[in-house]
Amino acid sequence: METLWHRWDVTKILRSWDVTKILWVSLALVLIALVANPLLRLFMISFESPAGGLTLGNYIEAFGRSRYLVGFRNSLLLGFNVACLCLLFAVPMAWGVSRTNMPGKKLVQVLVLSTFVTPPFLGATSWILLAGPNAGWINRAYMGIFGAESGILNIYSFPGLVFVIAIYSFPYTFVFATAALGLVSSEMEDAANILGAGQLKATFAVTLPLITPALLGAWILTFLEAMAIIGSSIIVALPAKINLVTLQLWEFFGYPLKVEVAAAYSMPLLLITMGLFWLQQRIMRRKSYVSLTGRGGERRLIDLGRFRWVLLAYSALILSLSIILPYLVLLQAAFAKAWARGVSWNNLTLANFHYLLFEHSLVKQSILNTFLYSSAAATIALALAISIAYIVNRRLVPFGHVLSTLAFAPFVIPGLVLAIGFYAAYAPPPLALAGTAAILVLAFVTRFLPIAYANASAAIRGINPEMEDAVTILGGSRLLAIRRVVGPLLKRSLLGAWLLVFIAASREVSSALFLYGPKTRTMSVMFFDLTEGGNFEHLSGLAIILLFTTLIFVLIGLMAVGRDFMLSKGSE
Amino acid sequence: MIRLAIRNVGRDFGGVVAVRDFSLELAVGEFVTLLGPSGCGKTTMLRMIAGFIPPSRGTIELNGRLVSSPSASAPPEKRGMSMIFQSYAIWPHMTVAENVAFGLKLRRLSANEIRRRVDEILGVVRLSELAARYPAELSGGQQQRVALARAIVIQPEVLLLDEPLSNLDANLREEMRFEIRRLHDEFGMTTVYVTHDQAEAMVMSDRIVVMNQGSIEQIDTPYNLYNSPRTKFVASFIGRTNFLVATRNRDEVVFRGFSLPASHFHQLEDLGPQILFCLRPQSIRLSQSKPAGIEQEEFWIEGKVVSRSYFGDHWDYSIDPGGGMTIIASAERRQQFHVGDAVWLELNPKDMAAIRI
Repeated sequence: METLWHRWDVTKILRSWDVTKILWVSLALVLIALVANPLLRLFMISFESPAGGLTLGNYIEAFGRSRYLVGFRNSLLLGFNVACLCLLFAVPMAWGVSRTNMPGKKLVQVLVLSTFVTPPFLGATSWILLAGPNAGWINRAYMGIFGAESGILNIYSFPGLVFVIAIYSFPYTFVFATAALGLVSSEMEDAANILGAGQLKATFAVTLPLITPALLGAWILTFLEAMAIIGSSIIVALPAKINLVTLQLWEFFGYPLKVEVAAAYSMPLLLITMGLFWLQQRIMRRKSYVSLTGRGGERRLIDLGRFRWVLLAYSALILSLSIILPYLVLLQAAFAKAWARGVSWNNLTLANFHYLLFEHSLVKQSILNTFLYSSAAATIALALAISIAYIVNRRLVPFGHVLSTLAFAPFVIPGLVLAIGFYAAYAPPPLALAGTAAILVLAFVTRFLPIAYANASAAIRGINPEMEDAVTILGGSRLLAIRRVVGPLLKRSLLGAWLLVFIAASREVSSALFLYGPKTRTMSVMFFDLTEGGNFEHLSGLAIILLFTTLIFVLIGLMAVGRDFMLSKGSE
Repeated sequence: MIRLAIRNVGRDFGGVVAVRDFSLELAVGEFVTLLGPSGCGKTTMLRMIAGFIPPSRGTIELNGRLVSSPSASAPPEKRGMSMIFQSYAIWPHMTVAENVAFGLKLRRLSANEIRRRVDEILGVVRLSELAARYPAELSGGQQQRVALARAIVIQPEVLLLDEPLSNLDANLREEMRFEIRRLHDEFGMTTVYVTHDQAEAMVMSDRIVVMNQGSIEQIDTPYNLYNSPRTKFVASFIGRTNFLVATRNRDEVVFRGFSLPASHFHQLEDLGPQILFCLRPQSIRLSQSKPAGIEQEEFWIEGKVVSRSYFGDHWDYSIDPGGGMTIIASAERRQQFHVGDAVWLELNPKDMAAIRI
């Protein structure tokens, strides 16, 4: 009797602690370590003095000097201007592509995608070659044509900084705008036409107000992107002596190291980011009219007549500034003995690549590191994401939404703030991960977990649970269903998600710059190391290697996943 | 007086003919429905009237003035028409009142006049209490009435409706049919209504244009369309029907299994030796035995019940009159026969519409 009782008890415990529950607990622990703990440590350390003990001194130091406060003002201004400029760049183009008979749409879309995958710090570097004072190509052309004493453009200025960030951020706005325009049925405009409104009036009274929530969302996203961008800031704002939040954080993180002050200084940035993302979600949800009444009604293209060439010319202008001119000058410099000597046979050389790949002691290592860390990060992030997405979407455990909230949380944490949190949490003993590959990979995993999770979750939601039920009703276990049905169905979208994370990690700057050690440089870290030498030929060479790598993986993604790769809602 | 004249209009899309040689004249205040299955060209025709698409051939005149031709087409905003769309196309970023006021503002009326007319029309469509609401807060039927109000408030000479009821559930659809017809009568607009629903067309229209594969099959009143369809398509598209094939044989029309005297049929001469007749199940009378001592005894034939279905309010009997074909006949609910019973049917030539094969 007693043994029976005992056995019953054991099976009961086993049943209540089945595999999914164990998985739930371990996933929760991993997420706490990756997301919650760094944030908590960041918050705590901002109140600790280096010697130990509670203090408000970090905040006093962080906000006690006008130079530091000016950094905040500049960053806010930068975000505002960039976000507005992005609207100007992207909205006419998006309207042209999605609602009109503008020619060359395919090409415009391909070039916008290319802008999207171009690391902004490479673009910023190429713009030094284009619009550096006096020596830049555009300035030299201007002086040559008009016989002027000096050039007209100076990239090392606040407008230059705004421009060089906006020209690589506008694809976000483009994606938001085309997605929203794609939901506006033509009948919405037809209804205005038949009541007496011309095409222009209908566009401004009906179409634009309808996509305003999406544009606001894009505005906020690009605002935050500009506030948190570190690469372009180092390349353009640092020489221009414009202080920014990002640069100030970098300074606190340099020598002498003031992690506690950096933590205090990053708090307002974190709060602004979280607040604005919350606002963005509210705007997009509350005023999502488009999805509401988008049903029915086909979409027809507006015939622009001769004006369609004007719109194409405008798009071509923007895209030559973001892609065509920058790539040309980077290519020229990468294969030149001296970039300023222009294009000629005796200026052509492969010496830059030889130097980078065979003479320089660190570049090879950094390329290897990049591949290693990025694939490790992509694999881990995806494994986590798919497990969480599966148990959350199939409602296998209570409180699943806690896991999904944690998985999405890093999206609202600026990369460099996350890096400071990681440093605070895992650099000191007992783990002492400072400068190791592990801390970089874990930071990458955390940073891009939202991308992986959004993709994995969408993929799983696309699989009807009845397909698994069909396996179990025929006598198969859930594991068999996952292996034989869910797995094969997910293959394509998971490959796409893996590539997205890999590409993002391979060009990641903010967390890498804060966490790398002497032996764990990635290519982008290497790039910033080289900027200090000021050798633009070598820099351009490395830029070409980086771009080439990205290009290969984007092409693989396009072939495997199709046209939606990257331009879909992967990063939402 | 002719409000709208459509003359020999055709439209191609990339070599495919969507509308072929369409001619129709609408009198002032007339309610005409374009009826046909999806892809028959009815919506294309409506959009040509509205001015969204220019015709490939032919002309459209409004009040005797040319508005559409292959070479020049007035844009929709210059036609003074109104239209109701399948998706309603209510602007979700404007309130009900703002939606309705849109067309009035474009006509630069004074603020007072706009307010007065918006109030008035919202009263007519019974939406006065919802003037300040946004469309997202309205039900489907209410959104539909906003669309009606927005279209009618500018007092258009011509109102176009593109399958406006197809997104509503059955009860609401029936209610809105009468609502639309009521507003038409009240404001005296000339109305062109597009639908694939024959019941809708029948109850609302003065005349119906039945279209199929881009061409007009028949233009007629609902009564004539039902009782004298001129093509097989019209007969089968509107209501249920029996098709009976017959040949002409001097004084008789010979069907499979029976024949009827030719003298009672009209206008058979120009139809050739093979004739197709359309006979509605409701037009057939049934009887247990041959009725004795009545006129037109010769219309009664004997058959056998092959199968039956009960619909609650009526019976459908499939009856074989002896030649292996079946005729469907409707009978009221108390008239009960069993499968295998012998039964007499009255096939009256005046209910049989002859159709050219």
